[in-house]
Amino acid sequence: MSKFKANRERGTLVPNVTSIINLKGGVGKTTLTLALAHFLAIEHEKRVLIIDLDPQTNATVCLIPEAEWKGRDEDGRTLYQLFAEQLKGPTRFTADAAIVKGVSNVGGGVKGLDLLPSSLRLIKIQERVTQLTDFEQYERGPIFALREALAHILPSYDHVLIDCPPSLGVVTLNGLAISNSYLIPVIPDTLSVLGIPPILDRVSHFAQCTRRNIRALGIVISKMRTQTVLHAEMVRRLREDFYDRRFPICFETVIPESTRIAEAADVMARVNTLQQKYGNGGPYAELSALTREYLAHVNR
Amino acid sequence: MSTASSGGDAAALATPATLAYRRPRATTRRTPASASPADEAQPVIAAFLRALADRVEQDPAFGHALLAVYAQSCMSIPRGAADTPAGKVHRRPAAPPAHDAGSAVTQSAPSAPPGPPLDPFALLRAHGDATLRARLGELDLASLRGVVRTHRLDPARISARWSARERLVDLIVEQVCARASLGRAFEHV
Repeated sequence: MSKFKANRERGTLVPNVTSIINLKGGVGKTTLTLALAHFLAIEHEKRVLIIDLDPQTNATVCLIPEAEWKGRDEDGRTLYQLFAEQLKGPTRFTADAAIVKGVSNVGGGVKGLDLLPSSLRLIKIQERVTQLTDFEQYERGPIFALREALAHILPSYDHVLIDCPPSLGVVTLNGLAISNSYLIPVIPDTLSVLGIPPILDRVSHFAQCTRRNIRALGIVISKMRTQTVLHAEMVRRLREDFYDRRFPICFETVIPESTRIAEAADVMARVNTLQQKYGNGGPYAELSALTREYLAHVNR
Repeated sequence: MSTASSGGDAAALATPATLAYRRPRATTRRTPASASPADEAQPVIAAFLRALADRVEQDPAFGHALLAVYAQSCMSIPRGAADTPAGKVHRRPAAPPAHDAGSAVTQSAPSAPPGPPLDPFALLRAHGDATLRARLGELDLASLRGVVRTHRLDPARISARWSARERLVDLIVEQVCARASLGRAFEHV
């Protein structure tokens, strides 16, 4: 399959850029990002770029060994460099040098699965970068730094998935500024669901101010415990909220709470296939179905 | 190893020294005429262990020293146990342990493990990866698989069909070293 097939079908060379976002931490943003990226690249033969915007750097170290990340970070080949240069020049960051090709532990690396790594050092500077930013009209501040840095790179991908930090600060806005859609992973409990309305409001406001169309693809239920009445009841309410036009659609496929998913985060584990990574008969089937559902929503 | 006991005995057993050696009491009383030399030694051993347990309870430093010797002997101590106050009991993992090759002679009696299990993490911490590799090299295939299974070093079970011991040793050393150094790159960033 041609690497540009999906984009050609849509009559454009702009890839599907999806931010995975929730204001609450620990809801499965990184898990969802990694799973979608792996299944898109391996089972659907798409060219996929993961942008790890989260300063916790979790997606990064799930895809490349820690030592490799450290070397790249010290060489200025992570997103820290890009944002640090917004505070003081000169410009050193280049996306071509920063993007790691063929990442993942599946088969020793997946062709077509690339990574723009994050950095723990972003924690130190993100507040200072945020102070430069106008959050009312978005007319001031480094909101488009990522877009400018990746402008020549993005057309070479079918899908770009952005693992956002649990905030709507300037780093997340950089992700939204290149996104044409977003996904909201949610644990079906009270506190996670509380994070949905602020996201819908702020993303809508940002899209309006920057004259962009950023579509809410839907809510993805993660860490679902099927035996828990609270979870089952909350999923039912989330689906009802969609019919009330309050929330975006809730994906049919849910990601179960699973030890295998937790173990899949270990980039040093030896695996050759997605079935081995996620467990055949385990979450593998759900994640595969979720990816097909994602593609259906994206191409809708 | 078991803390097999019930009722009020549990509190009395809550010391590292007594953890391994207390046995269930016999339900029938033996007559002096039928007592073997081993039976006669039991009260002596019990008295020795009680004295040892008393000393551990009175002197935490002595308990720490015992635990350190225990860890250096590569017996199974959960991570961090040597730092805990004396008197706190740690159970072994329930999964089937691997055993030292020297004592694992018979494969036909898995229910009676003849030696202490090998804890690769304790061994790596105490002696480094070269010693870990050397000790693993002494184990048979079944014992190496036991190490992999006990510590879940290969969740995808790609090593299940491997028959070369060297490959399993490589896998164990690689995975144990990787887990032991997890997060090192994030220090002092």
